[in-house]
Parts: sequence; C-alpha cells; structure tokens
Amino acid sequence: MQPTKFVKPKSLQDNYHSYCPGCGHGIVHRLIAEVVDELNIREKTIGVAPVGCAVFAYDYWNFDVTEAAHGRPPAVATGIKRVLPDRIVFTYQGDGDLAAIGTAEIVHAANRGENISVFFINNTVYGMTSGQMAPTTIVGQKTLTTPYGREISRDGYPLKVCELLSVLDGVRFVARAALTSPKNVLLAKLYIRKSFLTQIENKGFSIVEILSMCPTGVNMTPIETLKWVDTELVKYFPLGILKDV
Amino acid sequence: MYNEIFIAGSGGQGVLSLGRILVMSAVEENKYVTYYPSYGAEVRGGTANCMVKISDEPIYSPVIEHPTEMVIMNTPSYLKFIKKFLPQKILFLNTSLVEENEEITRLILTQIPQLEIIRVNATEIANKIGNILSSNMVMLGSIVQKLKIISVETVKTVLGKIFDEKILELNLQAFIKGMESLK
Amino acid sequence: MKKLLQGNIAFCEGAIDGGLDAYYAYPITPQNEISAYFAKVLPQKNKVFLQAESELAAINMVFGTALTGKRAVTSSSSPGISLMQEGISYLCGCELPCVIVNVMRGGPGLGNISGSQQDYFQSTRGGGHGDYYTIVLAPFSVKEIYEFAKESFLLAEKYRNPVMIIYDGYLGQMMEVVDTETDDGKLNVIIDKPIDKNWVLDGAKDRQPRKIRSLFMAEGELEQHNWKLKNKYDKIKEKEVRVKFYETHDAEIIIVAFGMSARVSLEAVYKLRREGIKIGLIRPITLWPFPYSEIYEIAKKVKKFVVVEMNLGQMIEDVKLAVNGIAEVYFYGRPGGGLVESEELIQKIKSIK
Repeated sequence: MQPTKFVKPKSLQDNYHSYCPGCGHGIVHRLIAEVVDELNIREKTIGVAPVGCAVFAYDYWNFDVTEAAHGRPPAVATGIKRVLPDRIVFTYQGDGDLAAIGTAEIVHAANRGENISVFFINNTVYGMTSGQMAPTTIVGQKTLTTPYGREISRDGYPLKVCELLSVLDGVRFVARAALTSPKNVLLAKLYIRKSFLTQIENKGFSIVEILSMCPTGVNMTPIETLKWVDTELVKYFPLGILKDV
Repeated sequence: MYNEIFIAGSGGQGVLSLGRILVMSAVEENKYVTYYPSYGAEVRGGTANCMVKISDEPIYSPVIEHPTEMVIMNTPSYLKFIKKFLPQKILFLNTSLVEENEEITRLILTQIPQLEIIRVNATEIANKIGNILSSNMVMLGSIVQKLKIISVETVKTVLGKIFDEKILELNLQAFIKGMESLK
Repeated sequence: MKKLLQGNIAFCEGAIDGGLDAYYAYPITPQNEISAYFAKVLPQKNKVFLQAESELAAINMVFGTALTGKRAVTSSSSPGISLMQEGISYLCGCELPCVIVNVMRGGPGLGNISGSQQDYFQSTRGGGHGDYYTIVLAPFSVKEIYEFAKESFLLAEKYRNPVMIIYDGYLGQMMEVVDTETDDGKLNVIIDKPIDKNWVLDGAKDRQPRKIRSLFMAEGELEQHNWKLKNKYDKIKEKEVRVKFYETHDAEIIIVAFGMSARVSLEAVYKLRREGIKIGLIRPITLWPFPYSEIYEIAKKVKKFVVVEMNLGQMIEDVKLAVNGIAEVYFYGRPGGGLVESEELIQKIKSIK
C-alpha cells in the first residue's frame, strides 16, 4: 500500500502564518482550503477576511480574498454575492468581529437567508488587541479587561450566537465544532463542507462556529488551552449540529 | 410671461398635486417651469405648500420670495403665509376653509392696492359634486380660468394622464365647476 | 427626451442610464424617493435592489459589489452619510470605485429635514479617518443631477475612487424639465485609455488570486501607498476640475456659490445687472477638486468676492485659500435649513460695494 503523502492544499499559499504557537486559525484555514479543493471551487471562491488576527488571511489562502471593516464581512459578502450569485462567498470572522461590533450585520444577513457561508472562530478573546473580554468570554474568565474575571452583574452572559441565529427562518445550517482532538477537527471539516454545500445548493445562510484556541489571549500553554476548551468552553457552547433544514 | 405661484394648505388637501398639475400642463406648452414642494414632518394632516414658477424665459431660482399669485386653502396657511409672501397680483382664497381677517385684508390692500382677491368656495363645491377630496381641482379650474397662461385643453389632457378612469370624471367635473365659479 | 422630473428621480434615471448594477440604502428623509423608485424599477431590469439594515451595512454592501468591478450606488442624507464614513475611508484605502449620494439636510445631530449645504467640509475633506479624498460633484439643476449620476461611474472607475454627488434637499425635491437630448450639464468625462479591471475579485480562474486591502503593515508600505494615492489625487486635481462662470467678463464683484445657493445667486446677479451693477458668479461644480487656480486668476482683476452658502461658512475657506489674500472675501449664508434669498443677498452686496 502506498503511504498517504502530506501535501499542502492548492487553496493554501506557500506562506508562513503569523499566528502564535497553539493558535487555532492555521488549522481552520487549512480545513477551509482542503474543502475548497475537494469541492473544486477554488476558481470561483471569494473569501472575506475579518479585522483581527486573521486579517492577513488573504496572504494565506490561494483564492480571491478581500478585507472588510471590523464587523462588516456579512454586508461585504452580501454585496459580492448579490451581483455574482454563481460564485462561492464566505466570511471568516472572530468573536469580536461577528458577535460584538458586527452583531447587526450577522443577524440581518442570516435573517435575509443570504446565500453565503460564515465561519465563526470563537476563542473567547480579542487576540490581536492583546486579549480583552469578548462577547463570548465565559463567566469568571480573566482577560485584560476583566482582570478579576467576567462578572455577570457587570458584563452579562457569554453570547450564544449560533443558538440565536438558529431560530431565524432564513438560516439553513448551524453547527458548532472544536479543534481539540483529531475527531473534532474532522467534524469541523465536515461542517465546513456541509456549509459550502448548503451554499452550492442555493439553500441559503449557514454558519459554522469553531471553538478555537488562543493560548496567548487566555494566558495558558497550548496544551492547557486545548484542555480548557474541551472541558470548560463546551459547557457554555455545546458542540454539534444545531440546525439542518 | 412670468408667474410665481405660491400654493398652501394642509396635507391631504391636494396642494402639492395642484402645483404639479399646473407645472405639468405648462411643460406641455413648452414653458420653463420649476416646482418646489415643502411639507412638515407629519405624513398626513400637517402643513403643505409648494412654489410654482412658470415662465417664457429660463428660471434661475426655484425659490419664491414675492409671489405674483398666491393660493390659500385653509386658515392656518392664511395666517402663516399671507404677510410673509405678499402676493403682488392675485390672491385665491378657498372661502370654505379660510376665515378671512378684516384687519389682515386691510393691511395687505394698503401694501398692494392693486391686489385682486378671488374667492372660491372650493371645498363646498367639491363636496356638492360628491368628492370633498377634489377641492384642489375646483381651485385649479379657477386658477386656469383667471390666469389664462395655460389652455383648458392642455390641463384636461394632463388630468387624463394622471387620473384613473374611475376618478377622472369626478375630477374633471370639479375642474369645470371651478372655472364656472368665476364666470 | 423631454421630461418633467424631480431631482431625486433624475438621479435614479441617470444612474440607470449610466449602467448601475446594484443599489443599497437605508431609509432617511429627504431622499426616500430614490429608494422607492429603485425598489420598483431595478428588479424589472434584473439589477440588485436591497434595503440594508443600516447605513453601515449599506456602504459595506457597496464595498462588496464595488470590489467585483460592478457599479454600486448608495444614497442617504447627512446623518446617514456620517455613519458611512468608516466605509468610505475603506473604499478610498482599497481604491474601489462607487457612487454615493448625499441629499443634504440640516445638522448637527438630527438637525431637521430641510435642505442644507452643511456637509461641505465633511464631503471635501475626506470625511472619515486617514489621508484621502472623494471626488465631490455639486449639481445645481435637475438636469445636472441626471447627467452627473450618469457619468459618475466613469469618473469613479477612471480613478478607482468613490464619487460623491451632493445636493441639498431642496434640489432633491424640486421638479424641472430634463431634456436628455441636450449636452447641457454633461461632465464630459474623458476616458483616454481602457479602464483597467485587472484588480477585481470575481474568482481566480486562469489567473493568480487577488486581494483587496487597505492594510499595509510592512515597514514603509503604507507611506508608499499614501504617496501613490497622492499622485492619483494630483492627477484628479489637474484633469477633473469643473467650474462655470456667469457674467464674470467685466465683473467688479464676484459671487461664489454651488448647488441651490448658486441658483438663488444667479437670480441676484441678473437683478443687479439690470440695476447696472457689474457682478458675476463663479460656480464650482467639483467641490473636490476645488477650482483654486480658476478663482485666483479672476481675483487678479476682481477685488471683492462674496461666498453664498446654506451653512455657517464652509466653502469660504477654500475661496480664501484660492484668492490667497489678493481680494476681500465676504460671506452671506443661512444654516439650519434656511434658504438663502436673492433680496437679502442683494442687500448684502450693496452694503459692501
């Protein structure tokens, strides 16, 4: 039997990533690239990169990618998809981008049933600006701006975006994955694939939330972060398919 | 020929369409026109007025500072605009809904002695025909009859273009009654 | 064809005749006729109409469509344009062509819904963060609104830069005749070489992938980008200034005004001429690039300028820069939705003569 050769997907450029050790972005970038290759849609895919650590995504993927202002990727993706309905359009957004400053854009894009794919990277902190509280920071979690831990009385509860969006009629597929084990990574890839297929079949809006690791932001080692996501984060953000219609 | 017509009333009295029909008719006769509407924040029932300019020469400003003619459809507009925009030639009043103030009349006639006041019982005439909403068409008839700047036939053609068959007859009738009220 | 059109509708018809592909906007007075018209007409023409959830979303939808090389338009009024400034800065940074209409109303804050010219500074100084300009066109008739809307895509695409068309709510609401057969009001944009579209994102088929960005983090990279933009702005300043002169040949006093103020001023000019006063009007059509040298040339002969605006005095700063101290510059204006009046202007002019 021939051994399987580990190769870079065609949809990834040959660049070094600027991500910290233990960061989840690189894994998700690769998963998206693999799915784009497998579905043979590289030549008609347009990605919308966020503001945040993944802002340089256009230097990593090997297809057309645009930047967008903080929180606005769903609006930008709408503007692309409406005039080029046969292209595959996705946004890649962090928790600050999608769940704080861009809440209006994501809710309305979802509610319109905009035929785009959204990949939502939830690592519970603002990584690029050095680790402030995000809307998804869990109760008690210490960040740069919650040095004594997130307090419900002051900061409210972690925002459950997928649960929120799944009640909207325009939304067709919602799933949450994590990157904490090979099995979970494969599940994440499956959901990403399912999201692209939802779009290809013109069914409407889909979102895949991926619980990711920001060891620098949560102030743990990469291994500790993985364990923390696996044991603590999933209590607030349970994994699995939330909606598939 | 240069007419600056200021038309005012309350929203719903058809003040803006009255102005628009005048302008559309003048365009049919290849005259230069400008039309500028103004209304309050209320979608229904607020004040409404428009400035209509009709001329044989190009018009620079659409803004009326001293109207040659003024059309007033209700008392609040009468009190609000009569002193601000003193009409130089003719004042049309919808007597059904404008309560004239003797003191004001005396005042404006001292300032503009040659001012002609045309009183049209527009709302009542419209009501008698069976459509109180067409008081603006009664007033239109009076204006067209008095000013003679646009032909009656042109106005009728324009009315034919803008009204559905269902309500055209009623509006034409109001228009003609308005003309006749001056005879 | 000769048509009686409202200013806002003339914009719609011009944009459609100019090849608009998509329109995104959020409701605001006094420009709602634009959305209503496009909502009805664009679907029939297989063009995109979408009511956005906010002005922020609208301008970013424009961003999305513009980066595909399609022709995108949004319209709003002053408070809404303030909200769009972030997006406009990104559009300029990314060099994306699009057309933005500001039917100006009174401010600051919620202000009122009357027409005004209070957004001159905001429009001509970029408006958002960073070193940039949008091309700003100020029509003064319904015909010009039509022609500018039609040709603005060419101007935007020629320079890969947003074009703003600004007019006050009065001009948007007024009606006059538009004769599409005449050349009157045309911008006559010169396209001397084919417009380059080798930057659009439409899928990397048979070519290298492309990226659209305004982020330049490498050492000196942003400075280089800024200098590149400056070169472009210089070219626009050199080639695209539009200005009109009225009765300036023998004038001893010059009015400078744009949009509706220019209409009222023109009435004053002809009234004063009948009284034997030698007065003329300069009407900047492009507010950016501003006709500095054209005004300076006239200031060499004419020593009195009056700037007329429906604000507290904004363009007057550009006029002062233009005359560069060799002529006196006076001001007549009304803010807050007040219309300038020819008689008040005439009084003002007589008082300084």
